[in-house]
Amino acid sequence: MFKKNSAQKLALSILLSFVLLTVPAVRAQTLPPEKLAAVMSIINMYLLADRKPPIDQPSGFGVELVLGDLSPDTFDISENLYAQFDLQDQDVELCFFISSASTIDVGDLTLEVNGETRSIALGENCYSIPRHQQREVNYVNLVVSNASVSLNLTTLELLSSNQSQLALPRLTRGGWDDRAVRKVIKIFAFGGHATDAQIREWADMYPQDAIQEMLTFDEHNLKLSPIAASDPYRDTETGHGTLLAFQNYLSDEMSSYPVPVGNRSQYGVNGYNFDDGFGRMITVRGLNPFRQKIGYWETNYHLATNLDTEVSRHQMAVYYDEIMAAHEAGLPYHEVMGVAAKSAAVAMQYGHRRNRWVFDNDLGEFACDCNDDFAREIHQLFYGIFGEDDPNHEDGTIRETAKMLTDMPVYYNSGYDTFVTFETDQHHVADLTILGQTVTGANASEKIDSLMPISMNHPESLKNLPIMIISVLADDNLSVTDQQVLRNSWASMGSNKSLLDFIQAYAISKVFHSSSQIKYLTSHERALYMANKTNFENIEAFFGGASYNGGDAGRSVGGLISDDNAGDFFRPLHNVFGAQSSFEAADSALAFENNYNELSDEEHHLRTRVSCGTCDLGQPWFKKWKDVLPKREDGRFYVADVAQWLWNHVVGTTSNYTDLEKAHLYSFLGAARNNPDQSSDGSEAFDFNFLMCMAEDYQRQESVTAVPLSTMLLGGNWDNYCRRGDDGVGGYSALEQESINRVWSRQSIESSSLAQSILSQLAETTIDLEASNGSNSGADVRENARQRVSTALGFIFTTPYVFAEGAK
Amino acid sequence: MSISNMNRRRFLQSAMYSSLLYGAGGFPGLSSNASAAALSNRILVNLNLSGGPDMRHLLVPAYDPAPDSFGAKYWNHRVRSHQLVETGVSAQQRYEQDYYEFEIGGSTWNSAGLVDAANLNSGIKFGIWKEAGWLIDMLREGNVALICNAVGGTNRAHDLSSLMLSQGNVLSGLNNRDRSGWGGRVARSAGGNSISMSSSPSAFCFGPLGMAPNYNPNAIDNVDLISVQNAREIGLFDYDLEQSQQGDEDSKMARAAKSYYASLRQQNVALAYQKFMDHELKVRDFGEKIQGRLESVPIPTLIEALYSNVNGINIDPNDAGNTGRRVLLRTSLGGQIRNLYDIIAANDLLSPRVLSMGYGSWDSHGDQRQVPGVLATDPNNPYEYRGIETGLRDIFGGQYGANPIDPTALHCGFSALWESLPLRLDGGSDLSNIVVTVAGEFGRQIRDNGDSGTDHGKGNLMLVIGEGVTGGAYGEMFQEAEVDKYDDTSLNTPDIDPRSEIDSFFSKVADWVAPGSGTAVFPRTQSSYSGIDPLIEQANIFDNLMS
Repeated sequence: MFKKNSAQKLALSILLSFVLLTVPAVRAQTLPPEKLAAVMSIINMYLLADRKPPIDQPSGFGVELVLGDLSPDTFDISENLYAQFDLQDQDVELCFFISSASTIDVGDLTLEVNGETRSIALGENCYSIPRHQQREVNYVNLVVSNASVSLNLTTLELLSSNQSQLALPRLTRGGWDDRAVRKVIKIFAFGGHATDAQIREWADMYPQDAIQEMLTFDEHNLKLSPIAASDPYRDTETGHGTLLAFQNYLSDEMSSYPVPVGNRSQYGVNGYNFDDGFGRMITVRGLNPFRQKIGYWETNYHLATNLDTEVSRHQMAVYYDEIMAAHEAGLPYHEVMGVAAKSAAVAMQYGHRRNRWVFDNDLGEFACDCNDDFAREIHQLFYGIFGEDDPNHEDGTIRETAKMLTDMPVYYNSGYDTFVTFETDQHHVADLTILGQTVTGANASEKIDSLMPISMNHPESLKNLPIMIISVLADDNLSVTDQQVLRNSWASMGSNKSLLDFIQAYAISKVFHSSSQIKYLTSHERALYMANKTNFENIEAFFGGASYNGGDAGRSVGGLISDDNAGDFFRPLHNVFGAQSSFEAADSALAFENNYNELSDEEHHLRTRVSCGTCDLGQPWFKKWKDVLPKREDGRFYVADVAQWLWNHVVGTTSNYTDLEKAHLYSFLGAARNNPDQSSDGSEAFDFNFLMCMAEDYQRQESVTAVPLSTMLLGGNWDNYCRRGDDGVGGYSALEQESINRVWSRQSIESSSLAQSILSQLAETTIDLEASNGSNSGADVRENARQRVSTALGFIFTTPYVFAEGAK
Repeated sequence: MSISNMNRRRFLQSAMYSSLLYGAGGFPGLSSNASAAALSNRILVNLNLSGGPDMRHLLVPAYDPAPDSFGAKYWNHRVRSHQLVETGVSAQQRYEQDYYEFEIGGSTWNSAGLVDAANLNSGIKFGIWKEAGWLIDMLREGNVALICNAVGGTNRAHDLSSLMLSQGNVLSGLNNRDRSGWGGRVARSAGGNSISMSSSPSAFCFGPLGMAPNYNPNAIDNVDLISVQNAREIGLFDYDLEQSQQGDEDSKMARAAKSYYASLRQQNVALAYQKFMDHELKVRDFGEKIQGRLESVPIPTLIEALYSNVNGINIDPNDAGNTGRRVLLRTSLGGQIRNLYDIIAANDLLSPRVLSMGYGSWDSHGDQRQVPGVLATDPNNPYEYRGIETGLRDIFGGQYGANPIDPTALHCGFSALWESLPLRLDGGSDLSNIVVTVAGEFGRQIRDNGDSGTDHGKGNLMLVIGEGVTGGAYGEMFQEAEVDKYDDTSLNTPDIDPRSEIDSFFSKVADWVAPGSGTAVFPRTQSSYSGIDPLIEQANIFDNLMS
């Protein structure tokens, strides 16, 4: 299928078309209808399309491609290489992966699509070639300008731009990139813990393959949540993957993790910090944050129950685990909902554990001694069935459903059971008519099993449930068209629907990755996302910002949620109608205010949680920024690289990373007094506004234009620049005040030569995370460097980009 | 973190810088003034009772032994929800002991100037739960309109009916969440601000798109909305140039963030992030102004006692060493009342015209009334949950006026506010400018269920309270047709037949707050409206609702 080019094919096609067009009698008499249609299709393609002649055939080695084929070959590129393909009747994408044992410079390689230059880089490269840009024959030409470079090209492929999965338009290989992977992880796994290398690997895979690894229901997903090789706390790699097991692990005196034994009783099903324990389950590495995302959504939104009612912690944990076990087992979604509907937690929450079908002496007949709370919500909340246009819904379906939910007690045996006992004495055993269909079963359990597939395939459910899923999980801005696309996808699964298949297909779809998608993060999602972007080791996740053994570590989760009045985990703000919604979080001035003030007035919460003397079971601990930040070949960490890494790490893209963002990040990272021998104030990096005030004051005082940062910051007069009370006034001078308070815009930074000079100097400043020189064998310098990195991270957390996900 | 810990001078200075460098126009209508002022504009306070409150538990028909009477049917079918068996009292005893009776057309009724709009209830006797003393006293003073057979949400589903109620549009569907709230429309019409004080920003406060009266109610623009959960702490941390900035880490971060937001404001920021740009401006602006005012406005003792222990108030009779306890079970209502007081104290700066409050947990499918044993000796115990009577007491408990039915009653939610506002240094003119609306998304069924609760229904009682209200009964209090529903076993879910949609009466409230706004706030009341007119029990019945 891949062969050297033969140029005659096009000419033959044109000739055939010409003959057929000019000899109509022959055509009509000799061709059957189906062949005639095929011929006409070819004719139309050439006559009606905007045909463009090919450019001159490039020189070098050529490969002809056919739509849909993936080349198994590896091409060693030492000379020009070109691929060619014929005009297609659709938009296409040409992709390949390019690697090199050595570095390549700009100019070593160029790529042309039909003569037009496109960018190329090591790694995955894809080129979209819409139908209207295609020629009769198309050439994609890779030109090697430096003969000394050694390159390998693999996975050469010509694909259709229009792909689908579960009837959802799927991202192409080119559309699936680092940003897309990070977006999926942010929305569906609270940011996850995947390494940069893993993210790159996923981005280089087909989306349909990568998503199978990224989003699973297993208790552990060590690609999504790996534990660093140097991390001593790795029990979660192989066990404790259910909520009950994890809570028991946290509360168990024998567990091997760094929280003191005396502080562990707060966790577990008897602990007051059960909810915080769940936060740790999402931030601890070795488990599966996607599984927790879905478990959280199921038990706090879709199928919500509430610890503030009669539901016990033990019942809640069992509820959570049974639902997720059902998902993990691959049960159809209606069966998963059956598991939930038959749980003790739901029976306690709604009170139908007391529902009985009994003889009423006053009425002289059997009657339902019931409430109809869950009888309504099993339709509405589980499936989105409101009874639209159904005159029997209120008086028929709901009352009949109440009869279905009879004689399902939760017995008390020194505490309520964690399961429902399905009995028959006080159950309405006879068949019932619910949603217009017959529901049968000897007890409530069997009847629920009978009802669930009916509910799943009810027209209202088909209309509403897929929207309920995606609108809460991933998109607050679904258009009417998007909604219909989702419904079509949902319906395409037939009777046995898989939530995992649906979410996987959606997560790699153009619907999710469109520019109109917006997801406002709830307080819970934001707190967890920030924690997962802050913590790198399990000691940080287990501590969660708390102080043990004389030191604190990690990012708090529960405290932030509580401050926002957002409702704890498993205590949803709106009871069975779910926890804080995305819009509530986005419209909450309090949530914004708390985040802002916590990161400014309490900025030390991030800055100083980078080390401790004894917190790690009596041993010191240091935050491992050095293990995740990018190093250059000289083995050093540069401000420019670290700043960009941090921005991409949190924001998920550098598309909005400009001189404005660089100015603030570079300053916090590099504008410090990094004198190894005088390191006491090296953590005190200056913010950009104050740094510029110093620089301008330096210019005035030293009567110079150029401001060498090292001289200004490390010289003996460093604190004379932008200093209070030294210009003949009591405080800051008017010039200094204006400078400190100035609003530096992207444009003003770009146009200021002084600002540009400062940025250039800062960019090439190094961050001494591995210093060995200076006081205390470099320990002080290293500590200062860690603190400055965490401060820069804190600045990113103050920006609007931690509150939502959407086009930047 | 508490902004109240901040240096006062620091706030003043940051205010100066923000107006100098960042502009002070983020929140319309805010002004700067150092002294307090009386409430000069009319304001609407809306209390949302989410969950579907059984107002037939608050206001009941008089017990009547005649078998076919409404009073007999009601009490026969409410034995379980009133816990009569468990408490060992009869229906008659329950009514006589626990309810304060009114007779329409009786002496109390007439002396208060109460009306029976459309004359639908002549001679009817009904009772209001006695612990709702403030509500009873307000009614006795002619300040409460009982809107009977009202409907704000036509569906028995909580979320859909809540949406309808908040938007003031029973025609809204679940896919219409992007529509404005009727409170937001009132605020826009009045040219002031809409302030949400509930734990989550209320959709009731969401503003329409455009300017009054030609705004688009089917879109949202929250330019004049802010959510306030603690008026005494709201604000953004800022740096202080009266201190050295060289080593002040928190100031450096505050400055960087402030500068960054200000610079972002000069460029296009994607839609997803605009709400947070708004928050940065509004919280900074709002916080600076209200903090400055509240420094000189102490929290009234009665309001503080709602949510915290205050010496001498609600002393535990069973604990000789106790010096005082909070009054409310749900302290969040106390916080909202304090916020309401504070915002009124700074109304000249903040220009509030609509304020929303919330009180939930009315979805009483089971154990609607609970009677903890401790109440026998400690009737004001603020810690024991009492079913929906918890909320009724928290909100309406207390007393009002010179001749309350119980002068010893503790001041609960609104009672504490009403008692405290006239004591402000700037006079007592505030109360006459406040109207309170109280409503839940739907009513409940007229028969109790097997779980000692009540299930979802449709029609319900709603309240309009204030000195500007023409007090009385609006609509048939106990529909004659309901009598037959009670024992009709062919009816699975009998409820109160809805007869008046909120458009019909809340439009009058809108007109009172912002004259001429009713038809813009509730477009279905426009004479040119071509769709189905909103339900109204009798033509013109609400014409004189507000005076």
